Amino acid sequence: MKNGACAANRLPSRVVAALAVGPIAGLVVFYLWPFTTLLARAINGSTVADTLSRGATWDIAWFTLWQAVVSTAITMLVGLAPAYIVARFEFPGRQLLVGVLTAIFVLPTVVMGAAFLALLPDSLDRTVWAVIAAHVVFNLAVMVRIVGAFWEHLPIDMESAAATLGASRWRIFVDISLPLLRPSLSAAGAIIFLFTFTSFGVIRILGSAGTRTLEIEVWRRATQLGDISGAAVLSVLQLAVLAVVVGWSTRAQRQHARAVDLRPEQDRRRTKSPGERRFVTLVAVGTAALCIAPLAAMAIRSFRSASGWSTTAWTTLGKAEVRPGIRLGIDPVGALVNSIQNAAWASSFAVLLGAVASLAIAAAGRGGRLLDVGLMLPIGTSAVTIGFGMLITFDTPPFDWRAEWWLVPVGHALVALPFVVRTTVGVLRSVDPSLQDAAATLGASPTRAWWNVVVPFLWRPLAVGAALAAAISLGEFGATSFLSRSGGETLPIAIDELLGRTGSLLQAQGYALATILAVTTVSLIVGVSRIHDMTGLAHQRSGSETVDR
Amino acid sequence: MRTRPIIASALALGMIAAACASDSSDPIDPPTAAELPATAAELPATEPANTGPDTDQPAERFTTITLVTYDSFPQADTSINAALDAFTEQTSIGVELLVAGDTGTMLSKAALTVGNPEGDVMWGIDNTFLSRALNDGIFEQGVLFDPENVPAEFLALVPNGEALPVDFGDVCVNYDIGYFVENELDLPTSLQDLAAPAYRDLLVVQNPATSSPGLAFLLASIDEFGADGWQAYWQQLTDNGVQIVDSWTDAYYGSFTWAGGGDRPLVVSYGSSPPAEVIFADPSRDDAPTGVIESTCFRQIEFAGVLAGTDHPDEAAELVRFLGSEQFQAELALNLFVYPANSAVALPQEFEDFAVVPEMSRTLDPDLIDENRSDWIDEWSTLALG
Amino acid sequence: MSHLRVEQIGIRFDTTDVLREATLAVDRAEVVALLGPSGSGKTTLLRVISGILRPDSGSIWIGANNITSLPSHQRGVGMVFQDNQLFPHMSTIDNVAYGLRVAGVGKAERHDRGAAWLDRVGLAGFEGRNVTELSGGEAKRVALARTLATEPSVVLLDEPLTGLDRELHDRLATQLAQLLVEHSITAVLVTHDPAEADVVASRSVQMDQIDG
Repeated sequence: MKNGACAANRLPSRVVAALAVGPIAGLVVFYLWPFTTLLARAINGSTVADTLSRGATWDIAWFTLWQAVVSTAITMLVGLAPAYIVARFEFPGRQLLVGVLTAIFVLPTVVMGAAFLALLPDSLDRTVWAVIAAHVVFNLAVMVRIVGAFWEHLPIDMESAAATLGASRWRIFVDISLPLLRPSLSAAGAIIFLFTFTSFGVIRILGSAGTRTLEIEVWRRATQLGDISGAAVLSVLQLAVLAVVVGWSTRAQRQHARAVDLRPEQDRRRTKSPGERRFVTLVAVGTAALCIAPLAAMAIRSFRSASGWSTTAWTTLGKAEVRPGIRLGIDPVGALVNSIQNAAWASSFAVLLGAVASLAIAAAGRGGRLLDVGLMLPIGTSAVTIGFGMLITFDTPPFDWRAEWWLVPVGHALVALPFVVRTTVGVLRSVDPSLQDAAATLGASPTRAWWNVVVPFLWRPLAVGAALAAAISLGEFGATSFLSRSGGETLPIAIDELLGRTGSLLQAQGYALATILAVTTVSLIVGVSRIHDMTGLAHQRSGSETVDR
Repeated sequence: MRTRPIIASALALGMIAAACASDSSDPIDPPTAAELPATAAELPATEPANTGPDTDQPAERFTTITLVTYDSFPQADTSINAALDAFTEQTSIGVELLVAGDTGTMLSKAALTVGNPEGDVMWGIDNTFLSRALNDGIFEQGVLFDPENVPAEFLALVPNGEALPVDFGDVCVNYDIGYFVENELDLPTSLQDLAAPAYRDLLVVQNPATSSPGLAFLLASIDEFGADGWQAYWQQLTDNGVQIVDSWTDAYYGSFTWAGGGDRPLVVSYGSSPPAEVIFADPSRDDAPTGVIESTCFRQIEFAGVLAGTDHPDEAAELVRFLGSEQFQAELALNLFVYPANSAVALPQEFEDFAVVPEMSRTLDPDLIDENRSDWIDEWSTLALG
Repeated sequence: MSHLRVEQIGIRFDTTDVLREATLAVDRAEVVALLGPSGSGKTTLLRVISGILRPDSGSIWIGANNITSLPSHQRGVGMVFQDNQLFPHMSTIDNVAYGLRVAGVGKAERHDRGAAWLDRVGLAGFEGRNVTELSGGEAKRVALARTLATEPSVVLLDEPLTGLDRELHDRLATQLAQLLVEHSITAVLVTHDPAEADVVASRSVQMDQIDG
């Protein structure tokens, strides 16, 4: 029986436990401890009763929920087609498309929101439909990356087999691909739900004034009204809803994860018929248009001046003096360098912790599920509560870390960690257990078998995860804007400040910086997929003797 | 000094011990002697002007204190930062800037850390937040700031002298001059005018729940129409098609005809927005494209103070006194776009030319604001947002 | 006229010509074995015939119909894959009856017909089994039953018996030969084992003979 054999050759539990120590410690120290410290300080019985008995609380919770559900459903529907073509077809500009999608996902919402606003027809401006449309475009990348990454490793021959049995492309999709994709679909769905449920910037810019999600209300109470305890109660409420959804998704992922014979190489091919070519072109161009339009609007704005077109914003970008004697106090180049450094650290933290966490999660049973859900909690927790929690927790030696530079990349890593884990665990879970058994029968110890058979599947999703983590860190604005900082602004913060001041030049400079951020992100993602594809090619070559031509 | 070694590759997965070790120039570290102005490092022990009892210690006893500010305070390179460097030269007290977020966030953080603050001095609590700051006890009591040339009405806001008024500015309705000329429309001259049919669909304001100028404009209306009358005024504004957005950026760059290509020629912004439009214009220009409706202005006064629980109370007090000095106050206008609280300081030419200091600007008692802020905002939300 | 005709098929991957003017004719109810070393293009030719790959030149005919540009699912060409490609989320009977389901056959009927095919390949009673728990030989037979159940006009067998132990291999080869003859199936078998070709096929062809 599969289960018995699998259990016999499974990784020893002490190794699993050792693997889990790092991520658990990180989670406890940088998330649980600060968060619970804040809750303990802020929450008492009467504030809980007050907050929960307020009608507005439930209105806000209801709005938060339904807009998230609708946004998630539409994003998943719209995202399937681009995920399919990116996973299955080789076409010119494929990596660029993925890069642009990812850039959209990670760019600060203040920038994308403003660019989006310029594009939307007036009748849609500041309605919930504008919000949902923006959520869909922003989160397409999650579908393409998570579902696409899984899809490209599903054996394409299984789809061919269905075709030779008479199934049309649509039947194949419904009967074969969709059921096999379920683990990745529930993973992507959970992440999209998380992001739309905790939406902040998009709603503030594109929603009608006063449209509030729980995340916005937590921020408003904590910072504008000084009602920390009310904010804490709401952030627990928010977390409770998310824990239910994420828990359900994790269960769904496990239930539907089948030992599909995932292929280490990607099964991609060129289009083979004019119809197919038309389909791929249509989807690629359509998706690109959706993403490039706001990016282009942003770049164009950096060249706009009061009297027409101007390159002044770009030519004065590096210069400290705007007019004789007047300097900005914002150093764009320094901000870029800072952002890149943060991203490198955040990505390293996230990949290191993410790799061991994924291995532990895939190898462990119930405990693994707990860790999996635990790692998702930070992105589901209101940024302001984590920031404030850290402030009052890390305030006494030897934990006086309040203004340490590394707190920012650690914060970014916490946000990015679930992406690394989700891209990796899905692949790991689907590694056929019989492979491990096979290795064991060849004389490998369980640990050795695991190292030789399971670990090689890690590199591909980890490379994707590293790029995502770096990109997330580059654009991160929410969580760490509540950490106090000294020196070094990051790009998103510099952009926000430029856009927050009067003067056409400053506004154009803000958009110029945003363009730089977008280009940096796209290059990063495209660069990584290059490496990724090159190594993929190497694998295919070495494995080519098994493919009879 | 703030550049950490650049990590060669964003994808360097291995965390190499050497890389960690080389990452030593923590931005929080006090500046090393080499990084300081030469005079500070090898300071001949001149007596600074405001000497407290402890400051006659040897000059080598260099102390760095932290100035906590909101996020629009310039971090480096400007004349404001140069002035702070000059302070360091004069006193051998180093000043590190710590950005804590917008004013509300900064205050909430300070309130959470009373007694064990993030820094030593705080800059930028304004009169809409002052009462909360004082009630929460974020400022050290009994520090002498020796304010000079500060208007009495500003000082009256802090009867116990916990904080020093350092600057002021106004939130006013700005108008697009070109629009009113082109359409041969008279300017509104009062808050009441804004509700008149002539200005239907022309005004954009910010949500007071999420925006500081939005709150200031609501307070201006409460000052004008009273605690029982502002609701009727806002009903008229709503009926007259006022547009409400969540942030200043959104209003000014999204909806205002001049800056954003929007369709609203009237926007709630700052009294200093017109000179900023000249200074940061591209291409450069000699006249402001926008103006200010004086009677709509609400005054925001900002304060600086010593944070309760600081380890360096004397140095901190000295810094606050310096922040109020003419030397520092002279740099405020062009860097923060506010007016110096020290009335002895002359304004730069651009400000003389294009900024309006309204003769009468509205204010409300900080205690009254603090008591009612939440209720007013809730009431306003129901009324204006439905 | 032959039932299946492959005429001057050429296909290249990147810069390598994998097939050059490959030509093959198979009569109705004839089983042809394609023999040749690894890399000689045997599998590629099957994939071209089944429509998984599009050739760069040449044409494929079944009877009087040129099927070169028809999509796989409209060709009536069945294929048994080297690694079976059973659908892991479906039970054994659902795998076998999948082609019938796609063709619109009602639930009861396709269940009966699927079960009959399972019976013919010697797996009676396996209907509810989880396909991921089948042995190698069982999985092969399910794959074969799944393909034959749709009654395709041409069946392509891509090394269907590779990787089985000798005894099982020989037994299955005999069964396969019987099945193909019994149901008068037109088939192309790809193998590198001349002995297997002799048992299963009525005629053997070397790749280098048909590929210009």
